Amino acid sequence: MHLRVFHAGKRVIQKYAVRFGGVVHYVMDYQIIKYSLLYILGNQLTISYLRNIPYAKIIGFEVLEIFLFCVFCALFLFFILRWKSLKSKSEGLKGANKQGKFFVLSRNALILVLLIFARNFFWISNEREVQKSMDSFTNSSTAFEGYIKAESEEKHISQELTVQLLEDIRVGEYIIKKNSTYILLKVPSFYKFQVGQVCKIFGQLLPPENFDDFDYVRYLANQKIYFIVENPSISCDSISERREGSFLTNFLVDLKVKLIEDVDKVLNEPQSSLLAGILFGQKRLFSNEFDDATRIGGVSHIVAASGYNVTILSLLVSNIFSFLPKKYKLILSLIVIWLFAVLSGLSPSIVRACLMSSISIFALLFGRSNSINILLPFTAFIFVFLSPTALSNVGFLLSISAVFGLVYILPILAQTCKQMKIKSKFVENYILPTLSCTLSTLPVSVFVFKTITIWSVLVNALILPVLESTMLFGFLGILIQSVLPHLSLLFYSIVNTQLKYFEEIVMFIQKIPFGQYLLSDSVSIIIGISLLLFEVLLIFYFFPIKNEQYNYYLKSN
Amino acid sequence: MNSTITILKVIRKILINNILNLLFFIFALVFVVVLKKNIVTEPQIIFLDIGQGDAILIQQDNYQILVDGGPDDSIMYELAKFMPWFDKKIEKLVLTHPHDDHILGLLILLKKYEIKEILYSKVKYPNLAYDYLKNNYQEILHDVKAGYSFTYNDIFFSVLYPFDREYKQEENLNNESLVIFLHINGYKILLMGDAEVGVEEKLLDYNILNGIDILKVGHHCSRSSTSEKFLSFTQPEIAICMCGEGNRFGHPHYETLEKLKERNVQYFITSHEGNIKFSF
Repeated sequence: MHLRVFHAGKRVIQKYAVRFGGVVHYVMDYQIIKYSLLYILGNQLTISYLRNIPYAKIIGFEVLEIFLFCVFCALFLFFILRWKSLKSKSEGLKGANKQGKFFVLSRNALILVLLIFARNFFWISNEREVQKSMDSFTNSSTAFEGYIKAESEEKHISQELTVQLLEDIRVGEYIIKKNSTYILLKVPSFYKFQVGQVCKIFGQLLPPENFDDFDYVRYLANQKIYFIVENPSISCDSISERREGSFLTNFLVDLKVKLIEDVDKVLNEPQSSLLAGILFGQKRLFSNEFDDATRIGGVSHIVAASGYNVTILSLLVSNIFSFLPKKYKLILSLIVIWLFAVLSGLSPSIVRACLMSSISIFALLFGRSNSINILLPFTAFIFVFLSPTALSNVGFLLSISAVFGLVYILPILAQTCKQMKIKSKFVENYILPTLSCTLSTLPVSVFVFKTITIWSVLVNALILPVLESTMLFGFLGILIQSVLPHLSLLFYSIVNTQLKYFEEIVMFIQKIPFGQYLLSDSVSIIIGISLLLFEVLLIFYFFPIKNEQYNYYLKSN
Repeated sequence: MNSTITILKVIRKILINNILNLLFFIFALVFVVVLKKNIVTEPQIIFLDIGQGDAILIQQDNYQILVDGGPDDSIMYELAKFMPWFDKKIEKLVLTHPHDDHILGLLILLKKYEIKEILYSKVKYPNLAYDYLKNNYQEILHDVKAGYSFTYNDIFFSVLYPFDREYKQEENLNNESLVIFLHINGYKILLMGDAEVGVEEKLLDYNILNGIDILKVGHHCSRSSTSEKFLSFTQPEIAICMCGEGNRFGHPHYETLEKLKERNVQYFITSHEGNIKFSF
């Protein structure tokens, strides 16, 4: 008996060793994966390192910059000299090749490190510069001109606006350069603003403050916001007189706002906000009660432009056009998804979600393929390069982990179903993607939201089949609202019934006294990491490989 | 011909292949065609639980009167529970007075609902929200004083205070509140806004207030309202205190509740009961 267990354990460990070795070889062989992953890792370490250096505050950031630059130049020279000396000493071609490889590796690593530092220096030095002058600006009233950069974020009694400065702000000897920061305005929610609207603002610049256990200062700094003005005096020009920002963005946002207003004219809360979220990825406010319920039910991602609603859209397209060949369905899905992105005003979170979902469409339609393995880390790299703090963005983490689930966990679940001889389109189309997304996003949600809910899969599986047609009928309703209002009412009535069903399910789950658990900080970290490890091990062991004898990893070995 | 077949194929894929959606479609059709005709036509008054503030919905058929909007956007979520889903029109909004716990929710509502008319009593009060209302909704604002009234089906609505004759603004803005009297299917309802004892004294001339069925107690059941004299005069059957849980003013005040108890007036507090609905 003991021997049998021992042999079974040995087999498992051997399988892990082979597969792990295979993945390492795979990553090392594909430069693009290797350097993307290294960049993301290095970026995260650099950001947290640079932001927490105490010396930078004392000795000044410029000195640190020069110091680090010198260190890297020295290291670079060291490697070149080392390579040359080794090359000259080496005997034969084999030795030289080995040293050459070592040189290429160390050179690439150095270039990568320099790239990370160069990218982040710019970001961090700007942050430090603004922070240095912060004390002189706060506690004094300042007048400035700026334009509304993005749509306002609704709160229950106020709204928050991000303002792009149109001029430098001067107080005494200090200057806030117009491109160094956005200003966050907190104004009563009854005011109406439009993106691109130019406003003159007079108020007190205040640094943000952390609240409860939330690092609000860091959260805003990640969005390049270092100052808040609460209840300022504000006077805005009419957009017909003057409007700033990109014409295309302004036009698209206006169009989206108009369409959402049309929805608001017909549907009540929370249905109108749900539809706005599902159709346009619009972040809207719910009542506290309903907000809690969506969190407990694990369906916040459906209305939060996390990429999953984009996946629903692609499922809808492939269902409607199921008579077309796969290739055309793929093209159509991509077109529809990017139309959705355009309709959503090309907001960064939607574009990110669409990009991620485009990858998952590849995964869903073509199954496992090398291109997805490359595309996933490369896209993540692009995002992290464009925004060094992307990994601190919960939406980004949820998007990427959802896609990760669809690419790597879904095939495992599909294979298990096949083995269990479960042949159901419903299970294949809804239950399995939901389950894989839920599993893959679980570590992130445990880590970030510090809650764990057992209802997520059930609620998602109950709601998701409905949402496909909610999108379709919702879109049709909006489309014909001004031309055929009565017919549009019929479409809206379907949408309303479906979203009422959504509401009822979520509210019912909320009333169940168990199933959702709040975790402390340390417990959430332990559980989050354990879940992540568990999933990685699960993928390593069970990810279906058609023929172990001839899979890439074994060949590489 | 080919395109017709394609369209039919598409419809088949959407509806017939997806039984759940088909059921929803049929349900929605039934909902629109049959249920829409059977909307509850009886008049209702609902005291909405919107936290520390006032918001009272009076409705019959698809006609709505909303008295005050509460302090934040809670009004939108609570209204949705009682209004028909396809009805985003409120025929009359009433602002009793422009304090934040009455006007803020109302302004949020103006962004999302179609509002036909706003009834208010014009006062001098420098306040962002009030200024915004006056500047942006001038064309639907209607200044009303005592004597204003209208009827919709079974609902008779009339303003008892402030008086129009020799009008002079009170120092205490609460005492500028519109006091509203409703007569619905033989039931008498009195909505006091935030009016305090001073206003109550002035209302004692109205004999109609003798034997009130439902009294929305003034100023969130604060001790500054609801005098013994006023209670003796109006003799309410039911009293409603509209206040938020754990509010910083300590509403409802103990003294007011004691007075109501002494007179065997059945009272309900929105923070305890949630939304309080009466159908007539």
